[in-house]
Amino acid sequence: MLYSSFNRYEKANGDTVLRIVVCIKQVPDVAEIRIDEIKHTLIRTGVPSILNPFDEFAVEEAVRIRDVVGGDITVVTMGPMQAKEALYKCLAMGADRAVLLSDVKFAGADTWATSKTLAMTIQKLGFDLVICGMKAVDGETCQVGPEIAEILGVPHVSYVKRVEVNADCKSLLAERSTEEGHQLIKCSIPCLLTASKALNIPRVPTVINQMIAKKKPIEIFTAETIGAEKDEVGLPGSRTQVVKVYTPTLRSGGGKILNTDDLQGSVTQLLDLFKKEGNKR
Amino acid sequence: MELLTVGRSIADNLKQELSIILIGPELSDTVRVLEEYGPDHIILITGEGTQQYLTEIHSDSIASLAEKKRPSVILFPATYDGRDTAARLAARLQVGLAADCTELRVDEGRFVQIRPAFGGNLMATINQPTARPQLATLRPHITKPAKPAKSVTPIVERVLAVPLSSRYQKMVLKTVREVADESGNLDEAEVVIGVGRGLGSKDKLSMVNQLARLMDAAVGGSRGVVDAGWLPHNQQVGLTGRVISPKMYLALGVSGAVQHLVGVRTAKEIVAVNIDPEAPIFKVATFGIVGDMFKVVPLLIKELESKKSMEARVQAK
Repeated sequence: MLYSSFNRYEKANGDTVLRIVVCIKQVPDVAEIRIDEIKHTLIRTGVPSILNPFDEFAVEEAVRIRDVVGGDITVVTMGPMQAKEALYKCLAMGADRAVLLSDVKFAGADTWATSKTLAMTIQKLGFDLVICGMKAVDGETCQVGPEIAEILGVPHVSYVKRVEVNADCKSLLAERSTEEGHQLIKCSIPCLLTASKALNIPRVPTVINQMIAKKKPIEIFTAETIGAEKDEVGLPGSRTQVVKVYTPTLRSGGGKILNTDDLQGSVTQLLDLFKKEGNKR
Repeated sequence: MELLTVGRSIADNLKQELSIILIGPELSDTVRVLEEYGPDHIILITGEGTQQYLTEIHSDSIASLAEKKRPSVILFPATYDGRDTAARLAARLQVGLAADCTELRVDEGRFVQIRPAFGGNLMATINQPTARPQLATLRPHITKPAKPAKSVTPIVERVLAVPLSSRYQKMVLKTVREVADESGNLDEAEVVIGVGRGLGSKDKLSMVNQLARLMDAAVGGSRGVVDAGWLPHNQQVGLTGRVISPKMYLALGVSGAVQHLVGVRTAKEIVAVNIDPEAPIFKVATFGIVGDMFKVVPLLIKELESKKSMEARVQAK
């Protein structure tokens, strides 16, 4: 399959171009996080930063939609300067424009302040479709996408595993995951989607695309750019506060480990445990 | 029920009343059951658009109620729907929301929420100092439902749902149940069997499914197994999959990567079978067998089947 990330398709009749905004986040690679067992804190040094895995599905889907119905993709992130790396990856995957919201005023934001900041930015950029990852692997709240949608006054479909934008770009069909299966939802555009893991398999940008991406400009937005008051964003704008963090007592296991010299014996012990804990038959 | 139990405790501690909101077609049986868990009020929201779950209708309807009743706390289950409704509602009311909490309590008159972050590597204690109401979603299958000591007869109130905004259209065309035949229900099952790459290939699953049937267990898998296409994504257990809390997690051929273990941190017993004695899973297992799962599982099946037929004979007498 050829990924022609840098072709821009215009719709045949030249009108409506779908303006897609994808919100992304650079996160620590949580699988690499270790706990300092003496100080009971997270060891963050040396932990690489990555593009939030769920955001990759969002960017990939944006590129696929754009390649079918036409439009342009802006990726936005709120973070430190280092977050540029995540934006470059998105550009290499096929995004057209990248915006970094970087301002000391944004620091300490909870989900409300983050959603407000992103929503104000999206409003300023202009949008038809917003796509977010369903959650970030560090905070794991699944809140920011739906909160942005509410602030923007548009409907949203979350945990999307399949989406089809109608040719007229006025509505879309989406499969929303549920505990038992999924709902098939028809939703008008403008709207917001949050991407689940089942949505697609994100492309790996080629080296050439990565090099081209690194040369593209990243626009820096501050609180002033989006017209945010000091108390609307960051820590002052937050509605929740973290008063304490602690590392949970690590599962130590410490269980009996047997080998299969005595296969029958070990199986019997396993079954005893099952009888104790499992469904009583 | 779990939510009601926790809610009752918080309400009692804050010396406030507890109401429960039900949205959907009238279910008088549900009302009867809920009455026993001690809410002071039961509010039924019905009307156009409540037959299927649509986030916007739920959040708008609860928002309208919240503006009238001014609760100090609103709790939701941390399910797909609960999280969606709570998030939209929080933004609508411009208040805070603590998501996926493992514990909710009252400390010195203040409502406190405790939730995991960073793949479960960190626990955070959250306060919502000024914004009211305070919202939280509670992770299911952690609390044991309990009926309060003194019974209260709740006041039942009926309210019409707020219809969908005229500025947009949204509708559920179809609700599809995907019954993963062999997987059972991962969230509810007390015993879950997890398979890892050690399984070898997709066709070896039939043996695992047979064991699962005998143990009345659900089946889940590591990311490797899902990426290889042996199990569908909704059976993936771990950081980018599902987080479950069974009484017993039987890990077959699972190496025990951190991302996978995040999915079963709170399982009561982790039992591991793996041919590699150095597999990380043995560090967290409460019981383990170092050996070939293709020897262990058939023996388990044989033992369970003979026990079953013995019980059947006893019953037949």
